[in-house]
Amino acid sequence: MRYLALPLLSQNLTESTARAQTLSLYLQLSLQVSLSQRNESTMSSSSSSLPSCPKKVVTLKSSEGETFEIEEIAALQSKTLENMIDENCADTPIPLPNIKGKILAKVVEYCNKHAEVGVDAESLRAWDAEFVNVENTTVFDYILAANFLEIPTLLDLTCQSVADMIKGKTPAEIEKTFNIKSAFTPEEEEQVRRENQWAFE
Amino acid sequence: MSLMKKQFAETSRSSAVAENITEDIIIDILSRLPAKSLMRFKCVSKRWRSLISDQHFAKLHLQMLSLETVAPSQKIIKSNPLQIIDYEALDDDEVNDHVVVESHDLGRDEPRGLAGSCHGLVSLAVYGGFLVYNPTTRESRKLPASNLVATYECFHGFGYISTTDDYKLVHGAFFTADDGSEECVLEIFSLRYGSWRRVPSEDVPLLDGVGIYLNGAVHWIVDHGSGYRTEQAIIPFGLATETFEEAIPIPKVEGVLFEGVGIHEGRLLIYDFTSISFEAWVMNEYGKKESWTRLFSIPIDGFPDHIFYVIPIAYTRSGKIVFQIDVSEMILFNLKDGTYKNYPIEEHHNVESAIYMETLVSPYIGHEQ
Repeated sequence: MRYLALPLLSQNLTESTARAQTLSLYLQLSLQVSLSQRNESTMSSSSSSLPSCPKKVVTLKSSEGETFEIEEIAALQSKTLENMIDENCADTPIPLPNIKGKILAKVVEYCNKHAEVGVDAESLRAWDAEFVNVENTTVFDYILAANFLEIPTLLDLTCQSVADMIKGKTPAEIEKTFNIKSAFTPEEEEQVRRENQWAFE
Repeated sequence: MSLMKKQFAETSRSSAVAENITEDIIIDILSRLPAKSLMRFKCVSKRWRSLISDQHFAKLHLQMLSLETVAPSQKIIKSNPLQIIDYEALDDDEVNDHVVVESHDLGRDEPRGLAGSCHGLVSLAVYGGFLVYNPTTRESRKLPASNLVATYECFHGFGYISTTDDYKLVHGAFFTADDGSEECVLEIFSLRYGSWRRVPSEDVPLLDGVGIYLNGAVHWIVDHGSGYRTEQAIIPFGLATETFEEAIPIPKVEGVLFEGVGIHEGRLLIYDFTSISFEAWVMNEYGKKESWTRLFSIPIDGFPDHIFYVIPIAYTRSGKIVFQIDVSEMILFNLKDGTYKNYPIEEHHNVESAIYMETLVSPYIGHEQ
């Protein structure tokens, strides 16, 4: 099942219906992600067919035009790339206009590492922990790239990293991290705070 | 000047990146957070408040909890007076030497006892009926009294049915009929349908107290025979079929008569305090009596000499065991080196306790407010 971004909804749907749909979709998707992670077999072995192209290396082009090479086996961890590779047998680099070179380089590094054979779970976990041990803005960039490229393991790793980072924060710090302009009036905010005051103790 | 520029650039870049984070990604991130954090984050914005209050999100969050490799956040609830004990906090060496207790106030509905807990919802018996309460969100729903007159010989259970996405409260009592036989009357309240129903019940073994929920059924221990010949078994009550299922025999252990039932890592746990030890066994494969395995046997020589009540056992994340002795102490036992720390707690006579998970599940399921 493709890891979809929020689907376009018609204007007639109310916000709560839209949310219910998103959440219901998310319920299925997140279970799929976690179930697929528990699955011992690799991503590439579960894909439907072997790529028909004889090429072993794929070229990706970042938003600034920089090119990066990645082995096909590693690239198949991205469902987006898997589909593009299937369709694109020619020699052209795959353009990824919404991913910057700096980020794309790291994503390639991630896919390469996770395609390696003979890496024990313990050291891979340690490697993953180091991978997300970066600035928040960079982790968000990884999330966006993983989301677009549909790399479930990277999305899981990065979302978990953000969750771990924010769980102890105050609402004010959250607003800053996510750049949310609180739509509450001071009175409304006071009321919500009162309703949930025990959560702050 | 250049430093300010750099900081401004960083802030505006972070805002640019953060703005691109779509709602489905926010949902993914939030679903991994502990319920307590999420309750705080309701203050962040209207959108977050609406999302976190949404029951579909609560369900996603609950599913994520069950997939987590780390044990979900759990606490102990005590019925009368209504109090919450954060037992995990006992394990924090830096914190105080006393048990941190949070008192909850339900207003006019004074709790009399516990009736079960499941998915972060706790069912309480109150004067005039029952209450289903989520101690994390503090949402409470009053249920009408059942048609049964409360007697001493009653039993309760509360649990979830996945096929109908519903929670049911079981209230049963035994009466001596005119001919001297024991009759059981069973009533069930479905949270979704919002009413009590009498359910046929024949040949019900003599159950007592609060059942423990696991995988769609509520479980009690029953005893057959007496003295040395006492045989024990676990009786499950299937919440979907509303019938008692086949009894699961409990191993006969020298000198031990199991009284307590609990859950450990998704498996049924039984325990007992004897004159010399604190015994606990788990059933590794549900329903298979051969799979009962001793989990621990702690000699109780060193413990203060008190009457042991049947109370829930919990494991902290670091693997220590938490339990209560008598009315006045909690013990944190370190299995690895056999040492323990004891913490005084306020003395109350009613020691009904249960373990619950911190979730966002609402007791108003099907009757959203």
